Amino acid sequence: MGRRLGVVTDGAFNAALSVRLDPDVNVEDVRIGDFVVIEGRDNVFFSIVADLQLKVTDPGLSADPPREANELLTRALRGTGTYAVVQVKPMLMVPRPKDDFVDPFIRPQPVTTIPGHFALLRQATEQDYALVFGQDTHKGPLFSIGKPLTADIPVAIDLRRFIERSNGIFGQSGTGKSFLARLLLAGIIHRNVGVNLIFDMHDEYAFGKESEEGVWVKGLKQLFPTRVQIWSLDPNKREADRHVQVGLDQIEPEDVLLMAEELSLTAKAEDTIGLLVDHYREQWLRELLAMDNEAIVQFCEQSGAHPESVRALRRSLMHIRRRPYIVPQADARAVEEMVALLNQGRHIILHFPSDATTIDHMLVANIITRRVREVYQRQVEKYQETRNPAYRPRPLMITIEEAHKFLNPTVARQTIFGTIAREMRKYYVTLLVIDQRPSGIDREILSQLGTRVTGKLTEQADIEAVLTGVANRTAVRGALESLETKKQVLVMGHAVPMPLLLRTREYDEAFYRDMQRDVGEHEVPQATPETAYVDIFGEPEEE
Amino acid sequence: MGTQQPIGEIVETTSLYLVAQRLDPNTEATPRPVQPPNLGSLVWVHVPDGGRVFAVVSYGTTTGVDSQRRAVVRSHGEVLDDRVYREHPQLHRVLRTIFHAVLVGYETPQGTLHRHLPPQPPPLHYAVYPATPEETQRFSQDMRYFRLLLAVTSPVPGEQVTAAHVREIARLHPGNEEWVERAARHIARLLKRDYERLQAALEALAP
Ligand SMILES: Nc1ncnc2c1ncn2[C@@H]1O[C@H](COP(=O)(O)OP(=O)(O)OP(=O)(O)O)[C@@H](O)[C@H]1O
Ligand SMILES: [Mg+2]
Repeated sequence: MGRRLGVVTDGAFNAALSVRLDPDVNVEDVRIGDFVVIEGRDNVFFSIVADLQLKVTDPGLSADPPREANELLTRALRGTGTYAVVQVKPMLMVPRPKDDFVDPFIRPQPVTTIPGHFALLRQATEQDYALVFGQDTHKGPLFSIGKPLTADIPVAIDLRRFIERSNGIFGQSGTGKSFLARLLLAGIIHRNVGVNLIFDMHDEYAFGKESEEGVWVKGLKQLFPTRVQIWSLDPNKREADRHVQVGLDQIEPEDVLLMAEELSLTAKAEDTIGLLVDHYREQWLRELLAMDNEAIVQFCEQSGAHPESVRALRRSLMHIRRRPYIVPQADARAVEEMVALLNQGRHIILHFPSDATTIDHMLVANIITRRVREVYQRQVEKYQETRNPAYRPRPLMITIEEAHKFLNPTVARQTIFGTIAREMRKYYVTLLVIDQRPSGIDREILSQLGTRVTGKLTEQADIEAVLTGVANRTAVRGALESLETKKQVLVMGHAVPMPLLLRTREYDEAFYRDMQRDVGEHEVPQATPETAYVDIFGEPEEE
Repeated sequence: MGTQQPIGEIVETTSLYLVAQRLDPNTEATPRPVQPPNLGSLVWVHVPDGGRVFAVVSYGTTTGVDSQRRAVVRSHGEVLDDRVYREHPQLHRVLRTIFHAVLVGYETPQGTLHRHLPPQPPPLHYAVYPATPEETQRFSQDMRYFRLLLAVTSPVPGEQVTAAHVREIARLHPGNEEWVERAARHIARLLKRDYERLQAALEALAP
């Protein structure tokens, strides 16, 4: 039995229950967001602490509090005339075991009732955590990501459920988002529940990185050298497994239009691009950039475009041409190769050069993601047609930092990322979006995020954004507002049975050892690259 | 018990309290003022079925036998205070000391203690005995009877009677701070809706 805290005195199913703290319980021992248990007569209720309140029985006490000198009075009042009330929100319940027989198959269910008056509130024990969240057994999808604030008990999330939906990691700068993402990605790799495509925009996932505390931490490539492939846009990155190039012919009008602001495109740009595409098809950009003055005039005469607009567009898009990874025409099979690797259970980190700009991030992430998803879609359709398990794609999670650039309300409807987030897991592709300012992300996308892991946020708009579409918002909001600025998160949603505040698991030597142990156990049989390549993708044009 | 001397005789009895006259402890040789038992002290009375009724002293007074008339002043010159009594050894016959005690519980013939009102008031003319420190300690282990003490309204307010009772026990058992602390919390619980009286009670408890 966990330590007794108090008894239920009041409440409502639709609000929270008031629990009067026992006089000998120091209110400071109870924290917002704590996982606590109420012992009802027939059910046990797993709940979270939503609020703490101080009460007096006689208003005279507030008007004339005891003088400091009268210690006896102060002490006598504690828990009698003055007392604390905890607002507790029940989330899940299980039937109370009868005659000490604990049915191992009973799982906690969402609450449909509340405990009666004077039901006892107590701290959760290790068994309670295990019953609700399950236990990380070093195998299987349950993966421990931290410990509760007030107990030394590892708490697991279900990685298989995690990658079933798109997810978000939020928190202001320095709260530990990237570290947490690395933990989760390592978990997904170790437990082999899916494959990852990670856009490593700030060079922190692939290789080691110096932490703010001044230690070098390992990158995913170092933890899982054979399972992680680094594809780099930086032609000089020697550690890369492959260098990626983007062909001008791969850039579609939307890729450019999405960056209207970054490229300072004029209002006419869209029309002009339309005319170019009518004329040159996928070679539109290549042709435009190759035009000289004369060619522009000629094109305008034929198409009715405005020469000034064409010139302005060309000037803006020359930026793209100058990027080191841009070539006139790229190997079109690179993406197929990438998907083939994913199909073999490899994880791919797309590494950007350290001087990469927003334009690079957006251009490359959009182009690659769009194509990867196309291939995945064909694969899924084939699987659904044939019902042949061999064609069943591995769930793919795509990780992007600074997600608001791809998912803000202006672009979310057009980017491939918006599409993926909205269509859910139909095509076995989901997102892991990481952002400091969730309020910058389109509401509809936010509401689709299955699991949200949130560090401290100070702006009210961001807090509201993270809570978009969350049941029991009021109960959870208190917990969210109480987070410390580092290594503390609130996890809620699809991958956990109920919201919980955690101290994030340390990304340290002990963690590396855990990750490097038994990786082989989950190794899946590898298809030979050829079969995977030919069987699954064929030649797109021929289909 | 048994070996103790009675300190009073019941002259009025009710379901809530008894009124007793102090029996005169004086001998003619050493005349002294006759005083009621300490405010807040525990007393008891035999009852016909063989048990005992317990009560806490809540009021005391000494007047002339003829309560209609005030006592006459007897001090003069150097004759002050107890010398007045020595000079008038017959004085105790014209004075009368009365005390009230609130019923707080009873003991069955089998020795079980109950801390609520007894089924019967103690009989008139029965003797009132002071409780020994041990009896007091045993009775005060469970403080439920404080509610009966706090319910007293006159002549002495209940919170003062209660505080006096706690002080009396603290005096009998020095070093028993833990009990005093517990008593204070118990009083605070009973007076949770009346901060004024609680303050009065606990201020009266402060050392
Ligand atoms: N799980 C963890 N294990 C070890 N150290 C951590 C962990 N989480 C956070 N830290 C520490 O906090 C620092 C900041 O974490 P991190 O870089 O993940 O923040 P962030 O939220 O990604 O910030 P930004 O938004 O600026 O990218 C790290 O450098 C590290 O020192
Ligand atoms: Mg970061």
